[in-house]
Amino acid sequence: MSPAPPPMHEPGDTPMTGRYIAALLLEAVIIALLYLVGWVYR
Amino acid sequence: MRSFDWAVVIVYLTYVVVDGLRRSKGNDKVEGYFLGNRSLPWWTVGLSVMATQISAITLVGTTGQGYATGLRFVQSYFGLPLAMIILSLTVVPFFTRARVFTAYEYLEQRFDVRTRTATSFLFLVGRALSLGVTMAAPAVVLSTILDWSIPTTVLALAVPMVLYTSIGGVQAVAWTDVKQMVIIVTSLFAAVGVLIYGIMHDVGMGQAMRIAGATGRLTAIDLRFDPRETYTLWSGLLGGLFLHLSYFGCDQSQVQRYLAAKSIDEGRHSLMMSAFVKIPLQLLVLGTGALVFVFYVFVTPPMLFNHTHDAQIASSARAGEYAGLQQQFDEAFTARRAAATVDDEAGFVAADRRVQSIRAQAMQLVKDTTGDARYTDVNYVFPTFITTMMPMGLAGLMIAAMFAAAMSASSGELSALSSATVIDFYRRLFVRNATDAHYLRVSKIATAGWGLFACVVALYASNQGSLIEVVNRYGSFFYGSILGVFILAIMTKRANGVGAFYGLVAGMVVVLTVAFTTPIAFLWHNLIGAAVVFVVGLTVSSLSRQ
Repeated sequence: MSPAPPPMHEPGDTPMTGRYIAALLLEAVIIALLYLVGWVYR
Repeated sequence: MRSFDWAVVIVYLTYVVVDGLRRSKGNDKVEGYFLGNRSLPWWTVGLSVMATQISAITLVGTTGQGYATGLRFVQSYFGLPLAMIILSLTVVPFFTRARVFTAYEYLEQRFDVRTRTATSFLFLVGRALSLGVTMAAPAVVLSTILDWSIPTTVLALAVPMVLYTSIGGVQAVAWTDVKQMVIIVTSLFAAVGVLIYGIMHDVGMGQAMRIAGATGRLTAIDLRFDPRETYTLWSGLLGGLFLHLSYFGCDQSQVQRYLAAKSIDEGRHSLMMSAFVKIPLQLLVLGTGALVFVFYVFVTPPMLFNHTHDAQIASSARAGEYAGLQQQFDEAFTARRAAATVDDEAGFVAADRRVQSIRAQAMQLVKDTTGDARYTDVNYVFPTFITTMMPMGLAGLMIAAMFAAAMSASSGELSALSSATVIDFYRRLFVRNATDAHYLRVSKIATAGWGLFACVVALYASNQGSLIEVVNRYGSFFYGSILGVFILAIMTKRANGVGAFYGLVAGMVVVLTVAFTTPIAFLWHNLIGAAVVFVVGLTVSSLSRQ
């Protein structure tokens, strides 16, 4: 049994912050567009 | 179905089996069989992960939901991108560095064997049931369309899939998934093309959008905060977040796939593919269903799409009443089409209510006459369109896509069931020091055995109601609580094995109580289960140390 979890990030791992932000932005745009379409064609 | 369509389906099935068997090379060790020697590229893993989610239930049930209610089901995927980010930061590096075969193996490293065994057992129960349902969904629909018996259809789906999965292992699963994703997406775009071409024959796309919008089918976002409502923005963002954290982070059928990736970075890339593509893909599926609705505004649809009980109704005492409803339906349909053609929105909405009301009466008549209280036709809408409206060749492609979706969803689950059985139980608890060749042999037998079990469950589940929700409900009873254990393992240093185990038990009890005694919608069960496990787990951990 290990008393504690291992580290999340280690040297050598590629940072993917840009990709994470892009995924969330894409989702926000999709939600906004869906809301807009639903409102226009309500 | 015409001869050429059948040829497309048969060529596809043969190709899948042959290609899957070809992938069995390098599977002379358990690590090769279950994890592809941890050598798969990210795009293969990513497509395989998505292929597992696009089951035949997605093609049949989700297009049916798009037809019946429009786009709102997409909200249940709004928690997915954030879940993928959290999992990329947490469990992907944890599991990969721990060099585990199953997600639950990690829990023994962190807590104890009891917690590992309990979570793996819960996975086995939930996944084995849902695998049966995953196979039952297309079997029920295909049996009606192809006029096969349900056992024949189940075998037609299961035999090729079990063959390539049990012999080829996860490599066969992943590489066939890639091809299956291609055929599924291609056939969906083909269906959309045929639908738009058919609709444009009568009206422009702007008017088609107004028709769909007038009946609420383009209202995808529901901002109400009502826990009794199944699909709202909030249940999707919060409940969906926990559902997807559980599914992708703690379900061996997903974890096994990114454990097969070449590296941590490749595992993360594979999950992020879903973060970008999953919601647009779901919109494509739901949008296809909404387009089918618009299409059938101008082309006469059957009053009910599910013809399972037609003969019984025709020979019953209420046959005349049913024929009367059919006549009313035809008149209401004509009035609806006339209103839609001249863009009379109020007239169209009124006529559509009349059409839906007659359909509801007909459905009730079928239920009363046959005693089939679960009778519904939502899963038969899209297959009816495929077989009656798609051009020759494309209909075969769509049916092949339904086979592809059924097999890609089931094969990954089958391989995961086998890996949990052998790694977490057989090798850990019963036969600890056998050779790798022995475990490989047992793994193949376990895969075939679970395939047989799933066929039996599929036969029992084949008369369930709305199949997609049945599958999600099975999952929700277990997912949130298992997620809670992983949160304890990964996010805290204070939790111990005693706390994790009793937290898990408490989570299960609370979720079952909530599910059976309150109207709270099932997407919230995941959040409740995870929260109870976390709080009880930490409390018991603190008490047990004193």
